[in-house]
Order: sequence, then C-alpha cells, then structure tokens
Amino acid sequence: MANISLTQHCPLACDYCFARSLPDDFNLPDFMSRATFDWALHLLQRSGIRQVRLLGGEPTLHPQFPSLVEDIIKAGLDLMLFTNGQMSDSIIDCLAELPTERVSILVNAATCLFTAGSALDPSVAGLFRRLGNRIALGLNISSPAGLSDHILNHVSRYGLLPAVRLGLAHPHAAADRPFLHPRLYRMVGERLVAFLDRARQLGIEVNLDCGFVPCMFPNGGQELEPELARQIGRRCSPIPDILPDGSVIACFPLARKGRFRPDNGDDLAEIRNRFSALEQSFESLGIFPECAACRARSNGCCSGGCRAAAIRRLRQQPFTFTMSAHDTPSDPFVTHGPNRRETADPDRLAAYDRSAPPRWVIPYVDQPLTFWQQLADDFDPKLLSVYLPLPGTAVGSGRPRQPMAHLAEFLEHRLFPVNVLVNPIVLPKPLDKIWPDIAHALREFERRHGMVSVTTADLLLAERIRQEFPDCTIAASVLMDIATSWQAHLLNGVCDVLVPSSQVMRNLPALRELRKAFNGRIRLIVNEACLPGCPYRRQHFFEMGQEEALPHSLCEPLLKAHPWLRLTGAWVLPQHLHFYDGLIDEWKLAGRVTLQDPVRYRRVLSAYLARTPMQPHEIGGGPASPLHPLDIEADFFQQTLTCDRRCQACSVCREYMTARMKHQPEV
Amino acid sequence: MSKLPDSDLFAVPLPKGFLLFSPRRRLAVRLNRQALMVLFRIFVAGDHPSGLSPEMDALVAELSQPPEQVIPSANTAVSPPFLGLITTRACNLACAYCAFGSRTSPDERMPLATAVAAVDWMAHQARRLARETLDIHFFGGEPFAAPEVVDTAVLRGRIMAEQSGLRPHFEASTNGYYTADQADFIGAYFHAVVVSIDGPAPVHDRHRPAAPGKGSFDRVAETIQRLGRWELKLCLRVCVSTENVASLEEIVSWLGHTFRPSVINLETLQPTPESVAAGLRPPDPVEFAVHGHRAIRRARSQGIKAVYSAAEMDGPRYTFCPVGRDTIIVSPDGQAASCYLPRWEWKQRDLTLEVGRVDGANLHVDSRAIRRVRRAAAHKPRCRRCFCRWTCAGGCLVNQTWPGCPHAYDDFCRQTRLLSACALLDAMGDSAEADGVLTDARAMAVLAEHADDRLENFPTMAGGHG
Amino acid sequence: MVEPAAPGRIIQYECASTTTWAVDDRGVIVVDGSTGAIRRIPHPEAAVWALIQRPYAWGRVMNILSAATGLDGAAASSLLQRCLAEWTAAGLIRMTTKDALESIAHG
Repeated sequence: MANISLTQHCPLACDYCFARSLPDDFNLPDFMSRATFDWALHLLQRSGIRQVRLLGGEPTLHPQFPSLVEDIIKAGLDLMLFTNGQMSDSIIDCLAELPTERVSILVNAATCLFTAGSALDPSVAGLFRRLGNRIALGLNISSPAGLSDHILNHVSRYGLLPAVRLGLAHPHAAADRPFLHPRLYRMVGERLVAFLDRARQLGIEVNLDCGFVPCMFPNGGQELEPELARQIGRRCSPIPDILPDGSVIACFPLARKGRFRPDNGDDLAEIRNRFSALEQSFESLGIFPECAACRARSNGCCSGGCRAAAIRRLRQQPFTFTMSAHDTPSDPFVTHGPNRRETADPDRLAAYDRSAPPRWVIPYVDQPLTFWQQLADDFDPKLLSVYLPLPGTAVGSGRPRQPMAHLAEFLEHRLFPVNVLVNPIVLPKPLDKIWPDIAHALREFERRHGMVSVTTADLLLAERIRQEFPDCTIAASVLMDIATSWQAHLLNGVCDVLVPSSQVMRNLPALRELRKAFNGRIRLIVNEACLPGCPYRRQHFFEMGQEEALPHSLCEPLLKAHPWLRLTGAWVLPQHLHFYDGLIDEWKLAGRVTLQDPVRYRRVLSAYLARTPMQPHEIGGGPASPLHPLDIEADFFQQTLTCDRRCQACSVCREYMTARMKHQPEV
Repeated sequence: MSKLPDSDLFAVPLPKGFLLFSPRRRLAVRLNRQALMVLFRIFVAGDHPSGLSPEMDALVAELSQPPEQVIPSANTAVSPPFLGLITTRACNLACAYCAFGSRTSPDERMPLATAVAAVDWMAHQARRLARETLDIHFFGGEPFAAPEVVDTAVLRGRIMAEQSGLRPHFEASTNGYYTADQADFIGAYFHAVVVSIDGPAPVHDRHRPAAPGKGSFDRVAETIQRLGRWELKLCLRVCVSTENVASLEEIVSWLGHTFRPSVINLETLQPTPESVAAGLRPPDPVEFAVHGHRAIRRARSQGIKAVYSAAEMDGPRYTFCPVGRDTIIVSPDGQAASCYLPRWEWKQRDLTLEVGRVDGANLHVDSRAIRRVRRAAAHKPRCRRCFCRWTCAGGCLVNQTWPGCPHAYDDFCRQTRLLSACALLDAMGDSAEADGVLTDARAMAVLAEHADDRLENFPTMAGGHG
Repeated sequence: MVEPAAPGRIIQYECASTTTWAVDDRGVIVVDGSTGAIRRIPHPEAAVWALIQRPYAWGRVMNILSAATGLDGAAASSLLQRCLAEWTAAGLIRMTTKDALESIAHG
C-alpha cells in the first residue's frame, strides 16, 4: 500500500490533522501536478500495489480529481479515498459512476461536522445518502472525550458500511500541534472498551490504525476479540506517504526524520528499505518509561507504540555539574577549596539547600543540661547551632562576661553544634600578635569539643582562621557591618555565612543585593535591635567589651528625644518573618543577656519557630525596640522594609507610634 | 436458603422505591416495596414463597450465591501493596487546613540509610510475592521538601527493581510548589503524582498559601502544566470547603480543560484548629453531595474520572485507606506504621498502628502487628447498619471509625451515603433517579439519616413510597 | 580519567546542546544528535546521569550516589569520575574549567 497526498488544502481545521502539520519549509505545491501523479501511479504499479489510497488535506479539492480517479481505475488499481465528506455534487457523481467493488471511501468523522446531539452536516448527509454502501467511517481520537459512540448511529441511519476505523491523533512533525498524549491513553482505552461493546451490539466491525497498545486497555488488551487484539501493539510499518511534490516520507508524524525523492527506478520495497534505518534506530524507545521492561514488549506482543510519540520523549535540558578542583577520589566528602564546603553530615548539606526552611542559631544561656535537653526534644530539627563566646582569655566576645557554671556539662554532652564567637568589634591587639593565642584557643576547643564554626567581626582574622582551619564554617558577624554588595563580594572565598549589618536588616532591596553578591548563606538576627547606622554603636560595643557590668546604651538620650525611632530598630517579630522568606538561609536569635530567664527564652524561641505573634517589648535584644506593649501591623512593617530611609523627612513611624501608644509601665 | 450470616443485603430508600444493594456480590437493583418484602421473607424470615416471576427467581438465585470474602483471613500472608516513605513532615506551604501540622512540623528528614533500608526490604517483598512492580509512594508533609531523600529512594529503587526483575513504580502526593527542575525530575522518574489544587487562584490561595499573604497558585499551576507534558499519570486533589463547594462543577471542568488530568479526587475539609482560625469550614454535606455529583458527571463527559473516594463503587473493600491493607509506611525517625498520620493522632484514639522499625540497615516488620492492624481495620461496629459498609468501609480509621467512636452519623457519613447512592444509580444507567434524589430535600434527608439499611430492618423502613 | 584542575579552578560539565535523553525503567537512553548515535546508560551509571542534573553540590551528589548504589565513598567517587570521563569522550557532555573567582563574578 502507499498513500498519495494530492494536496494539503482542506476547508476544515481539525486541530489534530497531521496533514496540516508539515513544516512550512517543505514548500509543497498547492496540488500534486499531473506529472507527479503519473509518476506516483507508475511507482505503485511496478511495485505490485493493488490499491491506491488518496488523501490530503481534502483530496477531492484537486482540480483534476475526476480524471485522476479515472486513471487509477483504468490502470486496474483499486481506490481508497480518505475524505472529510464535504464534496461537490459533481465529485459525488464521479464517484458514483465508478465500479462499486473497486472503490471504498473512508469519511473522517471530523468533530465539527459530526457533533453529538446536532444534525449531520448537510453535504456529508447528502454524500451518505448517495454512496452510503461504499462508505466507512473513520474517527481520529485526539482526547478521551473525543471517543464517543454517537457516530455509530450514522451507520444504520444512512446504510453505511458496517465498519469504523479508529486512529489516535499522533504527535506531529511541527511540535506545537495538539495530539493525544500517551498519558491519556489509559483513559481512551477505558472508553474504547465501552465503544467496542456498543459497536458489537450494532454489528459494526472496528479496525484500529497504528499506535494502539495493550497497556491502554484495563485488562491489557485481553478483553478484545482476537481479530482486534492482533491489531494492537504493532509498530508502524511505514506505508510511505507520497507528498504533492513527489517526495516521500515514512509517515506524517515522522516527516522531519526522513524525506527524500525516490530515484526513477525505485520501487516501494526500496523506499521502505531506506526508512528501515529510521525504524531500527529508535527501536529501544517506547512511548512510556515502562516500555523498556514491559513483558508484552519482550514477548513481541507490542513494539512500544507510535515511534513519533516515543521519539518525543527525548528531551534536551541543559544542565551544569560543578566539581571543585580539590575533590579527590580518596576523600570524596570534604573539599579544601575556597568556596563550597560539604561534609558527610546531612544536616550540613541540608543547610545549603535553599529550598529547605531556614534553621536557627540560638544563644547559650547558663542553664542546666535539662534545659538544653528539653530544647533538643522539642525543637531540635529546627535548630542549627548554639553560639557562645570562645572560652578562655584569648580574646573578648564583645560583651561582658556571662555566667558559665553549666558550660562544661553543656559542651561535654554535645546536644547541639556550637558556634564560637571571636568577635570583639576591635581586636585588643594587632592581629599578628593576638593570632597565636586565638589559634591555640580554637585548636584546643576543636580537640576537646569537635569541629567548630566561628563568628568573627574582623575579615583579616577570618582569613587566618580559614587558612588554619579549612573545614571550619566561618560567619561574618553583624559587627563586621556588611551592608553593600561590594563588601559581600570581598567575603566570598573566606566566609561561609554573612550576618548582614543592622543598617540593612530592615531593607529588603539591600538584602537582595547582598544575596546576589554573596555565594554563601545569609543569616539574619531577628532581634539585634540597634538603630540602623547608629553613630554610637561602635563606641558602645567597645565599652561593652571592656567592663564587667553592662553599660548604658549610648543611644538612650536619642531614643528619649525621639521615641518613634524605636520603630526603625533592627528587629523583626515572629509573625512578620514571612516577609523574608526566600531571602534568608538562617535565622539568629540574640539574647545571651536579655534571654537568660529560661521561661522567657523558651517563650520567645517558640514564638519565632512557630511564627506566632509577639510584641516588640517581649522579644528582648538591643535597645532600639519599643518598651511598651504595641501591636505592629503587617502593613506598617512591610512598608518599612522598602521605604527610602529618609527618616528625617518622614513621619510614618512617628504617626504610627503616636496613634497606637498605650501608657503602660515599661517592662 | 439460609439466613444471611453477615448482613450484605441493604435496602436504601429512594424517592420511588428502594435500591437493593449487595456490595459483596457486586449487585444493585431498584425494587419496589413488594419485591423487597419478598426478599425479606426469603432471606430473613426463611419463607419460601412460590410463584415468583422469572426475574425475581433469577435475583434470588444470584443473592443466594455466597458473597465475596473481602476481609483477609488471619493466615493470609503479609502482602504490602506498596512501601510508603514519609521523607519529612515539614512542608514549604502554610495551608490553612493542614491536618498534618506541617506548618510547624519539625524539619526532620529521613536519613538516607533509612530510605535505602526500606526500599531494599520492599524489593525483597515484591520478589517474594512474585509481583511485577516495586511500588513506592512518597508522602509528607511535602515529600519533595527533602529532595535528597526522594532522589536516594528513587535511584535505589530503580537499581533494586532491575536486580530483582521488577519494574519500578513511584508515586507521590505533593503540593506542586517547587521549581521547574524539580517538576521535570518528577515527570521523568515518577509514574503517578497527586497534586493538590483547590481551584482557580482566589480559592486555592485562600486554602493553600505559601505563607501568610502569599499565594501558591501560580507556581502550582505551572508545575501541573509541566507535569502534563510527561508520561506519568496526573491526578489532582481538590479540598472542598464552603469556599468552593458551590462552584465545584465549574472548578472540575476548568481543571479538566486546563490540565487534562486522569483523575480528580474530591475531598472535604477536615476541620483543624488552624482551619477554624482561618475561617474555613467543611461544606454542608447535602450541598457537597449535590455539587459533587454534578462535578463527577461533568468530568465524566470530558473523559476524566472524578471521584469522591468514600463513594467509589468499583468493588467491595473492608478498609478505606492504607490501614489494614498491610501497608508499610516509614516515617523520618525510622518507625514503620500502617498509617501516614502523625503518631500523636492515633495515640489520642488509643490505636496502635506501629508495625516495625528501621534498625541500622534493615527494616524489621512485625507480622503479628500487621495482622492486629488488619483486625482493627476490619472491625467497624459503627458501620454495620450502613449500606456503605463495604464501599466506604468506615472512612479513615483514625478520624471516623476508631474503637469506641460514637455510632451516630456525622457529616462525612451523610455526604458519603448520598453520593454512594447516586453513584450506584448512575452506574445502573438510572441517572434520572439520581437526579430525583438530589433535587428532593426530603428524600435526601431520609436517605442520609436512615439509621439501619439492613434488609432485616426492612419492615420498619420508611420512605420508598414515591 | 578526569584530571583535577589547579587550585582555585573549578571543573564543570555541561550537557552538549545536541544531546537528548529519555528515562525509562531500565536506565536512560541518550541520543547524540550530532552523530545520531543512540546509547543506553544502564544502572547504576544511570544514577550518575540523574544526579549530575540535579542542583546539588558535589558532596550531596556523592552522599546520594553512595547510598543509592551501596558503594563506599571512594568507589562512588570512582564511579562518578569514570562516568564523567566516558560521557565526555562520547561527546554527550563537555568539560570546562574556569577560575573560581570568575565563576563567582559571572554568577
């Protein structure tokens, strides 16, 4: 058999039509020329073909259709005509005069002409009345709902041949046309069983075109009658399609994969041979991933469905896989490069996954082991580490010394990873002089308590730590005052974590810039609570590191004069954390001093973990947060995250506080 | 003819007549009161009237056949239908009605070794049971919030399936809120996926925000579109509340046209403290039945299967959910149980659903525990009198039919009864009668509240007079 | 065998623009569009193909590969290295090296 496509033209626009799907660059003529048709007819004759199958578009639109058909009959060949059924009376007359036993007509039940519940298109009805006894119906299934048994009613109504041909709308050479996706095959199969049942009741034979597979049926095709079961699972054995320009393709869905002009001496067998390489090359591909291991396939009962649908499974998706230069086969889990560092600890790996919810770094307060055990039981997976100053006298932590009666026990039990602070705002001595003491103290700590992570306020110190302890996680402290993308860029290759400056803690655009510039993780302190850009900050932290007692905040007079400034402080309430979602990798809770009370500690931590509402005076932290009960509404807080920080000219915070302030004793 | 040892004959009152339903014989037929009385006399009173019509004779003969045994015997070998892996209880959404507590669940992730041990165990079971596939289902929280665990289990599963002569089969229940890369990985490696989407953006985002004030619809819709380009079976799950029940038919139609799923599952909201705080409520059961049935029909016309699981009529069962089906579901902490709900939920019902534990590199399953769970799942005193006994099978054991639960019908029962009756009528080709039920408030009330559907109760039954 | 680059250098593997592939239950089928060659990647190498496409750092890739294949760290790393070398030689992927800072600056 061979198909001759006389034209691509058709008045209908069925969205699944394969004929319309040929690429524009095929440059096909509107209609097959007489010469080409004669050549094609001759090709079929010398190939021993007995039946000519004419299709299109709509083949009856060819200006010479009657004479073409006459030539087919004169050549002693039979004719099978594929048509949409809409044709002129003269064409019907022409077909009516042809010998009945040599002409069969397949009318494609196009959706627009055969709508369930509506009258049949008048021209098609006219064709049926005149030539019904030569006409079989065909139906292309492009959706599960498209398989409807209402077309079966036309067979008896118009005396059509009791035969229906079903086809699946296969993918097209042009990728963007609708087709029946294989994942919908099962749904079609279920409806097909009911359709076949109905057809059987009406005495109508059903034939299946290519591409039906056993697995689309509920019982693997075993519920089908043997004759029908033999029609499923077979791989397309190309009936070559001869296009209007005389070129040949294996089939329309595979038009892109192979098209050529046969030599004058070729016959169909030789043409099929040229397509056989195409047949064989994708033999291993099936329409489903399951095809590779399918028993029906291995038994030869199924060849894996439509080849075009199978080829369509091949995807081209760019990817890049990065290996650090220092990843060596002998030590696969630890890298020593300046950039990413991973360990075998899945918790560490999880921290790099920005799709994972951020975890928390929490302060050490001097409480018995039971306090920490309870925290671990209740919150462990959400907690990343506990931070505390590096024990010993090597260097200060930027705060007055805190009680440490339970510290040894806490460190010994290793309930949590520990993050040591080596972050005085200014080192008490030049780095070269103090570095040996710091290194010794860190080495001792590592030896006794395991791998450390370190937070430091000095970039030079960070570089020294990096060289000496390549596997240590290094965080740039909030006191390093990193606020710009250039500063963040300088940290790349040295620090793993960046705690943004209090200047930008409530500045989402600035935080986004930091994130773009910094390769590591962003950790935000939720209650640092200093005034952004406070001019007294550095001196205050220096004094805090010098004295035993906690000195007064140097910003107090400023806050007394302008209490609304407290609304601009570097703090965020639990119920507003979501504004930072997607921007922050880790959270930090401050409070080595302010959260020493265990009940308050747990209450504040729980609220932050569960994002339940609190008021600013409840969260502790630095000085610049409201001291009185005050509801911070989401709209207001959100506004302050993107405002231009021209507080001297703005009255938003001032008015907010004035409107909501309640006179209560300071807590 | 002997009396029925276990009630498998139910008479459900309709506006006109009754629906005789024998679930374990897979038989349903509409009868009038007189015909039912004849059956009552035969099967309950032990009478043998003569002069029955041929149709009645045939029906009696069919009902005299022994019913299908649905509850596995105590000696039946343990046969888990699939391995469930809860990769994490955490979730990256903040759904207002989450019954898993995922918004505040710990971010604990299943260790990779636990996942491997569980997969290896299931491969061994599948081989032992001469299965064709190695079935692994992923749950959460959001299972893809622990992607490394999923990847490990999938890749291990593929290797073990190959070694065992099995085909891998992976399914996941997911929120769809992730990157295109992740969606493509699922499309390439999974065989079925259930994605939750509750309607177009306004209602979906009301139900399922990513965070307070932030919707998830755009990304979820994009994920579903992306998944639809792959070969896996695409199922959509819709949670129905008062917010979307009235537009359920339109929602289902829109889902069908937009995403072309294979199945749409309709579920009603289970109230939680969070859902109450968010102002979300389950739909009125009658309203849900009316709109749900219309939605199911609309989907059918599009060639899509829409289901309300409790009213699925494709065969009798003794349990609604994985519990009692020998299912093994492994949690992040390595415990194996029959249920994927958090442990505290069963505990508060005094249920023991643990069946094993991962210990090092091995999953140890206690077959006695599995058999105990089977018995618990099969014992449903609450459902004894309800015609849905062998189809709904009591709904969720933990939330609906726990030991000692009250026997009175609740809204779940009412909507299930209404939808089950209409599903039966539709399957019998009697859609007109189904419509008659759903447009008759009194008939619905009678059907929904009918306390005892068993044939032995028939003489006292009201309704059915038309 | 892939040679590690000098310190400060990063090695990257990219999918060739003419490479297409499809996953099936027996592994992965990869097609070199430039030559038409079709190749099946069986298990366990198919796991490597899957993992190098995921947005994971190298350490996580190794953890998962080790767990999924049952190989210890060294063997898993050898498997990865072998696959990368073979696929590079087959033209399915391309290897590039770049300076670490350059890679940061250009994102």
